Amino acid sequence: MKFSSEHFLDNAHEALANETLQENMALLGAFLPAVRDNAIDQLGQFKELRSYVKSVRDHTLDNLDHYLRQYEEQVVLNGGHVHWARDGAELNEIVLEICQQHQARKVAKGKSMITEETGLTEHLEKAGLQVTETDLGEYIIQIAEQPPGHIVGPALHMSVDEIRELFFEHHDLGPRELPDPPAMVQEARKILRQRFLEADIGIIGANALIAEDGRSLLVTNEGNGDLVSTLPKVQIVCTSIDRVLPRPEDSSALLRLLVRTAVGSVTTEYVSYYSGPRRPDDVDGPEEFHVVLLDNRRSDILGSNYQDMLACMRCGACLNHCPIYISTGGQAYGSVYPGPMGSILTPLLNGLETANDLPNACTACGRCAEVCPAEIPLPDLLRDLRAEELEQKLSPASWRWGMKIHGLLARMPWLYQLLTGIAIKVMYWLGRRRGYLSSLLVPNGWTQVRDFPTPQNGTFMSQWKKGRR
Amino acid sequence: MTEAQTEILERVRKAQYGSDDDFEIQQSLAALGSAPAAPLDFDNVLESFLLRLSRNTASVDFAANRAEAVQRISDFLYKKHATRRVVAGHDSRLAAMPWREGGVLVRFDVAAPEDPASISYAKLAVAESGSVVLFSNRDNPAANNWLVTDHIVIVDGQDLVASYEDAWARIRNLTENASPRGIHFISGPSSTADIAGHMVKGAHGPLCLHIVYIGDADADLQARVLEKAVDIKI
Repeated sequence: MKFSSEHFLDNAHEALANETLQENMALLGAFLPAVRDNAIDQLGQFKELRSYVKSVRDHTLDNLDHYLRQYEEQVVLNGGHVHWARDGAELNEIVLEICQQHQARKVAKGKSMITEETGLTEHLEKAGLQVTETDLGEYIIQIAEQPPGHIVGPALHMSVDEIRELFFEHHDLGPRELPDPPAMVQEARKILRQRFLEADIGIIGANALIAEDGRSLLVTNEGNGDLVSTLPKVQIVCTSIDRVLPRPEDSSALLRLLVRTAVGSVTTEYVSYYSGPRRPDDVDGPEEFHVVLLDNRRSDILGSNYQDMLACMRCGACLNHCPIYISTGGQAYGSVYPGPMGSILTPLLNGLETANDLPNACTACGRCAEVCPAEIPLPDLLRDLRAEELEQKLSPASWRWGMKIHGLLARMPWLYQLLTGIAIKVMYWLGRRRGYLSSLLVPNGWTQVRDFPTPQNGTFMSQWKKGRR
Repeated sequence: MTEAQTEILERVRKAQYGSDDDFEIQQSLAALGSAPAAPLDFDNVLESFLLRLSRNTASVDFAANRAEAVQRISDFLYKKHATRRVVAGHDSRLAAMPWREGGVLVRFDVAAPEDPASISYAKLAVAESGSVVLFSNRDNPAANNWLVTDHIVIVDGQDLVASYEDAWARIRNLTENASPRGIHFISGPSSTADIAGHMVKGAHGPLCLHIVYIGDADADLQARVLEKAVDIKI
């Protein structure tokens, strides 16, 4: 499997043939939607709350420069530094410079989607730094040298047995059994505790930025993000310009939706708001605090038809409810953002020409839009991207011609009915003896894996006209 | 202002639809009203708070006053760790408690990795989510929340509020003169489901969150909560 959106179709075929992955994904696809539905039922007022949060997000995006300036002013008042990065390369370079200014050797990272988007870990490693992902799921895929499979649970595509073998291979701790997940978690705790204590620099992401007080919100269960924010002498928050919200209450309203839709809980164990370095009276905490704000084409999305995508809160609900994602797993998408949200975000951030298969990874079932806590019309945005794909001639010529012919026939029903009537008769004649067709020649995807039953009794329309309703 | 900042803000300004007037922006935000509330599990705010904590596998104990809280903590520490040594921040409320009478030896310091337990005094507690609210500062160093095995948090009944919105109103007052480095809503022991979805309590932070509630809690309510609380095997 190649971690590139250009290889989505090949990756998807490979994923479908991977029995272990299929078993793991089936469990994920059953469990996470069930706990989400239960939590949302108990919440009540889901639609009202998400409309409210959307109205706040729309207001913020409509006045984004105001809130970004306010946020920066507050961070500076709190003693922090704000850096601006036009693209991933700039963010990586800013973080590396901070590390070098402090002669840092060891970096501990909390979970941060933005640094995965920019490939920060590889950039720092190339410069000779030791970088440890400390979220357990992130740590697992780091030592497995795999890309994430899910935006909330990056290693959820792996089985207990696979992770146990990985720990045996990478942790030099002698003979032991690791009989169950608790034993494995304890082993990871022991290994990673040392990394927290040794780290010179701590890097985290942000679930939201609060303009009013310059705080950044961090939502975790493991406590790794808080240790990363507390023990190293320098803290760096890597995030993007679309995360800002006006007031702390807005982040709490967002949390009511985010945690329930992500993991089916009312809250996570830790919800932390950080601002600035340790205060003069403080006895612990970082001596320096930096925020790096990434644009990376988000200012292109702002004001475009795709602006709603900037409201995505990264809960993963659209992934968990998507039949394509559950079939292929996240790695097939070749992007840190998989599933429906990723099939929109990846082309917008990386260019449609490198990810034009992703908007087609959709059955138009609409489940993603139903469960999206940010009220993003995901199927509509996917359709718009497919239309752009066609306009830019990024899809194969045969597909484009097929769409043109289909469009023409859809506008001339009499011709459509005439041609389908002829086709049905030809198919009936060809398969009349065996009762099935083993090849459909042009649209041959179906008959590559199964036979096509010989059509009986004409087209649907002809039967309708005969009164067989 | 760096070149990157100028360019990004310029692009943002060109793309957005909003106002240039700060007052208008404030008004349009205020016009959105407030968020629909999340329901409490029970009419009783205290019961909602404690049961939410219990469901999240935090353990709960009750004390009528601070002297009794000391005794409860003393028992908890000895049963779990066969010691009454514990670390705590410089919170004046903690400093004023009669630790010696309960035989508890408090070190007022930042937690070290080998410390088995710490004590914090919550600024607030939120029933909606079953959270205790702590600030990271000299009164409560952040390491004390995450580096220890058992985190003991004392909650005063008068500091319990129903919703996040109530909590932020109080936090605004509390932070008016001194803004702490961190504001934390803590709702249970650290946990992870990153190994094939299996929920495991005790990830990188404390393995146990133990709440000692000081205030009026009638015997029936205490019994209901303790019955439903997890067996923490102390």
